[in-house]
Amino acid sequence: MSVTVKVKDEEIVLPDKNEVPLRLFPITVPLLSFRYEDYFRPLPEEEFTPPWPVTEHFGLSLSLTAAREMLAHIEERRRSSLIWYRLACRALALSINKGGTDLLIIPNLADRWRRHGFIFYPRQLAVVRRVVHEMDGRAILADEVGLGKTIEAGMIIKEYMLRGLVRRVLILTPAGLCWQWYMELKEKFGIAAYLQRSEYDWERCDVLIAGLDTAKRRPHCDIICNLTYDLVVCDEAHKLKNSRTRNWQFVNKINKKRFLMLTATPVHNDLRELYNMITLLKPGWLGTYEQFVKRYVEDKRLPRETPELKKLLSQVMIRNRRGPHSVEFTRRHVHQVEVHLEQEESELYRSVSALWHLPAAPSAALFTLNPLTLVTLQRELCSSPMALTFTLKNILAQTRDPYLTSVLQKLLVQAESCPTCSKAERLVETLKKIGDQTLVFTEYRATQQYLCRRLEQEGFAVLAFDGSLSNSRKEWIKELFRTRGEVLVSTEAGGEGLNFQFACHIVNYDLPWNPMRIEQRIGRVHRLGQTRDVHIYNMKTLNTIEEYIIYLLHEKINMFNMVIGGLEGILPRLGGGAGFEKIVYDILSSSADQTEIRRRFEQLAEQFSALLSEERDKQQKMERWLTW
Amino acid sequence: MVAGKPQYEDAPGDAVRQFITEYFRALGAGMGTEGQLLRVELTAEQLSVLEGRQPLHPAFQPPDQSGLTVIYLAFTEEAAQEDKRAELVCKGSYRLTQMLSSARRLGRFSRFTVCPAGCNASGDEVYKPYLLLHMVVTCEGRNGDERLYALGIDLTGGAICPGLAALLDSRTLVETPPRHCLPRQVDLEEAMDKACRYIAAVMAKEDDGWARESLLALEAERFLLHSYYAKNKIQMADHTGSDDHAGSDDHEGGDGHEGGESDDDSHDGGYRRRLMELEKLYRPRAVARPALCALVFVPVGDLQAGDLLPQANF
Repeated sequence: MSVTVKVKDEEIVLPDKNEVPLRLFPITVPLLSFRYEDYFRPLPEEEFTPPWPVTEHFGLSLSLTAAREMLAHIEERRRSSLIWYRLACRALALSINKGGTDLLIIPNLADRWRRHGFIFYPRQLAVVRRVVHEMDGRAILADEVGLGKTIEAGMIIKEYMLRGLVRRVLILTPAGLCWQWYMELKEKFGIAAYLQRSEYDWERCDVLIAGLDTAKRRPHCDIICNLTYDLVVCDEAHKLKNSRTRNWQFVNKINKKRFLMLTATPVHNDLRELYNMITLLKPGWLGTYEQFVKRYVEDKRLPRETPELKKLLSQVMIRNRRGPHSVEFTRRHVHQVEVHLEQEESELYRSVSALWHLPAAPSAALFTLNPLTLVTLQRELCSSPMALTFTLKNILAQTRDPYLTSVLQKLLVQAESCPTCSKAERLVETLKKIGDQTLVFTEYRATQQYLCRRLEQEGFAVLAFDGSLSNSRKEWIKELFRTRGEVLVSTEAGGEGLNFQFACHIVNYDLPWNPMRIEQRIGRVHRLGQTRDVHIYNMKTLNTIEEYIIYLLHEKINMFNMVIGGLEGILPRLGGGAGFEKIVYDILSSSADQTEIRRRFEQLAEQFSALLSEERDKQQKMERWLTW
Repeated sequence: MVAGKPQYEDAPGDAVRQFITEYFRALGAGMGTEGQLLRVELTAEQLSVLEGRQPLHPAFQPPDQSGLTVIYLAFTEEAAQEDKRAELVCKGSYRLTQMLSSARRLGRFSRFTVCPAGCNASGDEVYKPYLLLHMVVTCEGRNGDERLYALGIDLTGGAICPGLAALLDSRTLVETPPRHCLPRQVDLEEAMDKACRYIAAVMAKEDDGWARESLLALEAERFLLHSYYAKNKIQMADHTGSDDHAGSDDHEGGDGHEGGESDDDSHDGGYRRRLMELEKLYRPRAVARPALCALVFVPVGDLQAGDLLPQANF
C-alpha cells in the first residue's frame, strides 16, 4: 500500500515498505566531474633515462615516469605511518614476480572462475604456456570451432598483464563480436577493456576492442599505425589470408611486439593462405613465397616435405581438434514435439494457403502479395495466429486495393477470432515435462510476447530476450535467468553472442530456414563449458510447411546432430550460390504440389550431403598435415 | 646473496596469512574466524581503499542495512571448496594482489627516526638524513623477471648504505623528526641516480643468462628477417612490371610475389618496422622503478654499526 505525502504543494507517492526503495541516482555528479581534456588525453608513454651499462649484454635505465611520480608524492608530503610503510615493504616482497614457468593466471583467476562456474582445461593452460614461454607471444591459435580460442587468447592477455609485460592491447575482430569479446574479458578475466567508439579511443585506452573494418579505414588506420602495441589480437584471422587485401596490408603496418591470430580455418583452399598468415606473424619463417612453393608445395592444396613443414608450423601455430584425446563435447538429444492444429487454426491455415490459388485478380495490386509474403504468412501462422495478425495488419495498412483489402480483412477477422494456439499449449506441456531451465527460440516478436504472457499465466518465471535490448540489459536479463529464471523466450537476434552453458534444454518453437542460424541457436548452450547433455526440442506443426522443413533439416540432413563447423563452406555453394534459405523459399513457392516439394527437397538434401562429404574430405586432407 | 638485496624467500602460507591479518588490522576492519575462514567486515570506505578506487557516492551504495561488506577468506583450497562464500587467498590470487597493491600504495613514502636505546629524537643528539629506497628492477627480454633492491643513500654525502633496510627490523623507530639534523647536500633526483648506478654495479655481478638468451633469440630473428627481406627485394626486382597493387577489401590483384609490401619504399619501411618490433621484444634491458621511499634519520654515532658502514660513492 503506497502512501502519498504533500511537500510544498507537491504530492509525492512513497513506495510501500516492502517494495524496493526508489533510488535517485545523482547523475550530475559524474557529469560535473567530467573533464573533456581528461577523457581525450592519450595515454602517456613511460620515459626512461639512457641506460647505464651493466654487462656487455644489457643496460639499466631508470623509469623517469616512476621517479617523477615518487618525487611528486614526496613533495606533496603524503607521508604514511610507519605501520603502513612496514606493511608496504612486506607487500613489495610478496608481489615480486620472480619469472619462471608457473602461470600467474592460475591463482589469480581461480576464485573468479570458481564463482562463475568456469574451469581451466589442461589443454588451454598448455596453449598459454607454449605461447608465453616458447612462441614469445607470436602465434596462430587455430583450434577447431567451439574449442575456446577466445578464452585462450584472454588467458594469454591476462598472463602477460600479470607479468607486467603487456599494457597496450588492441583486439581486432568482426564488428559483431566486439561486445562478446568485451564481456568475455570482463567476466572471465576481470580485464577492463574498452569498445572503440571514436578516433580518440585509439590513443587513450589500454585495452581496446575494435572492428577490423573500422580500424583499417582513415583516419583510424593512420592513428593506429603511429602507436606501438604490446599485443595485438586478431580474431577470425582467416580474413588476413590474402596479402593483397587492405586487411592484410593494414595489420602488417601495425607496430606490435606480440601478435595472436585466431582462426579455425588457417587453410581453406590454398596453402598460400597459410603462408600469408605466417608471414604476417613472422616474416621469413617459411622463406619467400617462391622458396615456399618450391620447397613445400606439391599442389595448391597439397604440401610436400610434410614432416619438415609440420615442424615449422608447430613452432608458430597451435591447433587442437575435437576427439577422444582432446576435447569431448556432451551429447545432443533431439526430440520432435508434434503439434496438431485445432479446427479453427486448420481452417485459418487453409485460408492462408488458399491465397496461393486466388482467382485472377481484378486489379494488379494483388501482386503485392508475392510468393515470399505468402510463404511468410504460412510460416507465421505455424508459429502463432498472433504473429500472422501482426503482419496482416501491416500489409493492410499499406494496401489501397479494395479487393485485396477485403480478402485480407476476412483473414484478419478469422485470425483474431482464433480462440487458441495449440502450439503454445503444447509448449506449456513440454516445459512442464522438462522441469528445468529452458531456452525457447522463436522467429517472431508477436509470438514471443504471446508466449511470455501465456507461460506467466502458467506460473513459469519467464524472461524475454530480443534484439532491441541494449547490451547491458541483455546481460542483466541473462544474469536474472541464470539465478532465478525458468524459461527464457528469445528471438534470433536476442541470443546472438551470448552464452548460456548453465542451461541444457532448447526448444525450437519455430525454425529458421537457415541452418547456420539453427546452429547458432544450439551453440548458445552446446559449447565448451557445458557439462550436461543438451536436449533439443523441435516443435513441428503437422500438415503445414513446417513439417517439410523439419523433414528436410532433421530427417534428410540430420542438422541437429551435426557437429559444429563445416557449414560456412557448404551453404554458399548450394544451388549455384543462392543460399539455403532462398532455395527453400523457391521450392515452396514454385512447386505445383506436395509430391514435387518432397522430390525437390530430396534433391536439395542429396546436394547438401555431397557437398558436406566433399568439404569433410578436404578438411581431413588438410588436417593430416596441419595437426601434430 | 648480493649485498643490498634483502633475503626475501618465496612467501609461505603463514607469511601470507600474517600479512593479511596485519593489513586488515591496520585498515581498522573487523575480523573474526568462521570455521577455517577469516571473516572480514569492511565499511564502504575501507572497501574502496582495498579496491584502490574512490569511495562510492552514498546514493550508489548498495541498500544494505549495516553498510558493511563481509568477505570470507580461505587460506587452503580445501577450505575454499567447503564454503561457497570463501575466496581463496594464496600467492598470486586476485584478492591478495589487491591487498598488496593497496598496502604498497598506502605505505609508499614514510619518514622516521632511528632511536637506539637511550636516544631521544627530540634530544641533543645529531642525526644524519638517509633516503631509504626500495627499487624494483624489471629484467625485460625474452623471459623477464623482477628483482627487489633496498638501499640507503646518505643525503649529506651521497654514499650508499646497503644495510639500511635491516634497521627496520632491528632498531627502535619513531615517527618524530629529530631536533638536530645535518643539512642535506644531495637532492632526491641525484640520490635516485646514485641508487641506479649502484644497482647496475650489483647486477653486473649477478647471472645475466636471461640477457644472453634474449640476445641469441634477437640475433636469430634478425637473421631470418633480413634474409627474407633481402631475397624478397631481389624477387621484386624480377617481377617489375607486374600490376601488384593493394587496396581491394577482398579481391586479389595481380600474380606478383606474396606476403610482402608491394613497392620499394614500403618494402624498406616494412623491414625497418619489423626490425624495431624485434628490438622492442627481444633486446634485453633492465628498468628500475622506485617503489617505496623513506626519509630515515640515523644518529651520527650509530654509523659505527657494522651493517650501516657506507660503501663507495656512486
